Amino acid sequence: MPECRIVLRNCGIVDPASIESYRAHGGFQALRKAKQLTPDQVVQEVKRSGLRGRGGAGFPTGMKWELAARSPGEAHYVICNADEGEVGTFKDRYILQNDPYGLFEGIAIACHAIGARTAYLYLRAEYHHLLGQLLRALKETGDAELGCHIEVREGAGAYVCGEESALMESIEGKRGEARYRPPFPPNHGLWQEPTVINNVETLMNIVPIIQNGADWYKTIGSGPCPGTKAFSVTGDVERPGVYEVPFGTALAELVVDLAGAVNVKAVQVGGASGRVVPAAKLDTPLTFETVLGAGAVVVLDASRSMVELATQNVTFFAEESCGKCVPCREGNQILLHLLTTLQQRSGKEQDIDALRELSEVMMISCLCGLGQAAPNSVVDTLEHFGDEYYSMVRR
Amino acid sequence: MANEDAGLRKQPSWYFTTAEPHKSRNDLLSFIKDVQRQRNGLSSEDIHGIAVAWGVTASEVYGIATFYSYLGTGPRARNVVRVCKSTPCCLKGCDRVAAEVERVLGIADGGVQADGSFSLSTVNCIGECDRAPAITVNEDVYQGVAAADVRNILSKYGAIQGGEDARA
Repeated sequence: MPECRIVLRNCGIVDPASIESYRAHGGFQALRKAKQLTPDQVVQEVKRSGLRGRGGAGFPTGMKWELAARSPGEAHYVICNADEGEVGTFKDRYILQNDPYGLFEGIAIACHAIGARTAYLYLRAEYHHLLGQLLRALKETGDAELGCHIEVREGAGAYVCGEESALMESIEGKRGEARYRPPFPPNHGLWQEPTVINNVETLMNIVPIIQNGADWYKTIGSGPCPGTKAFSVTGDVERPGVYEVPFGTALAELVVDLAGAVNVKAVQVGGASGRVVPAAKLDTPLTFETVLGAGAVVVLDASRSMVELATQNVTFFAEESCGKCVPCREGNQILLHLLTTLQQRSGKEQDIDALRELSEVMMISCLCGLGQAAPNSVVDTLEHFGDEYYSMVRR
Repeated sequence: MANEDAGLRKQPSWYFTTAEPHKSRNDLLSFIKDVQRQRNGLSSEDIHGIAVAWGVTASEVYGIATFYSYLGTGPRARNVVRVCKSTPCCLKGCDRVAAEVERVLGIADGGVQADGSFSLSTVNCIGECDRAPAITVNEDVYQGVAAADVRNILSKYGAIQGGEDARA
């Protein structure tokens, strides 16, 4: 199956440094169309399209917008989550670099839909090199064209800030620790006001949905997952890069046909918190219900150790845990200790049982998605590559 | 309170020179970043001064400064080298690149050169995985770095001293 470019429609076509180029390619037409509709009509169109959040959770975007629009507050806010920290993900950077105006237009339509006058674009500190270009593009566009004000807020280096409640804490100038929920952002978000927080890629879908209609959008993709998904493919492939394919496309088409993987042993889909798919299951369709996350796809060939992969992932979470809840803060440290012991060939079989048990506890008891998803790769590699673990036990 | 008074008396220079007036609590994070940039680090005096200026506790400022990986307490090197060590970069040999940076600069992961020229840290994914391995020096990004490129890249940022060559 070839690529299907909806989110990346302008990448490589529109000059990202020229608003005139964007206008010449139909820029801001969807925003003008949206402004002729009532905010509720816009919300209903997005709701009908079945668009789901591309940050990984897949929550229906229209429902989020409707909840926020109907929630009372002194002000409403839209946040664009550009804190793309998931390991192996760079599709949002690609979008920010190649189509900033398309993103602003999507944000502006979201603002119109929920009655927000201000939007925040939360840019991860690692993408500081994009800031100048983004600010120039924003200045060139102007608040009058957008009908709202977009302010760029920079992070300061914290993976957990990609989690929506931690991100809002960070915009408020605090430590980026996850909040207890409920209440959810559409009711009590930024400064406790109704807030819609959407991923960059989610917002990139808004312009085509408004322009072409929800019925058109629903013809692409697969059942409960309409539209396309942008994937960042890396690892043992010939052609790493960003690929956009309709939902339901088989993993093999993405990693083998498009990216040129050979001799595949396993594919981690969804970054460090993602699932590990063994080569035998490469026919798995890419949907929110199977494997997806934010669309990081790391291919590992036959030479790679799965215990090493799990250790790398757990090392990441042990460092990035915000430390607020015990199962995540302590759990990741203990997982790491157990894995390291195994790698040093001094572990026992009971350590493998402990890995399983602790993973289960973390998945049900951690406060936010970070901790809940942290043991994913341990669980999956144990299931599909358990022999590798047992071969490391001290004899 | 005694400490806060002491902080007020020794208002650090940045207190008077920052362009932005101290606005709302929401700008505290970006303000701490600015101070770190201007002062090349965050001393305990800086942390205390910020707390007084913003009407928050020093522990709150400290809490923020130690939470984010792009902030931190203590002096900061003039050139900050970050080597990505996440899985996509690992698969493409980031270990060899990190080892070469260590060798050229003569410092280990997390270290700062004695003269404050360079520091090195290995970091989690910086989102440049399409051309791994990637490193950053200050705000510049380098993709597809080979160990052999390291010396050339680093020498753009000033004379390299203290590395293995210097000792030889």
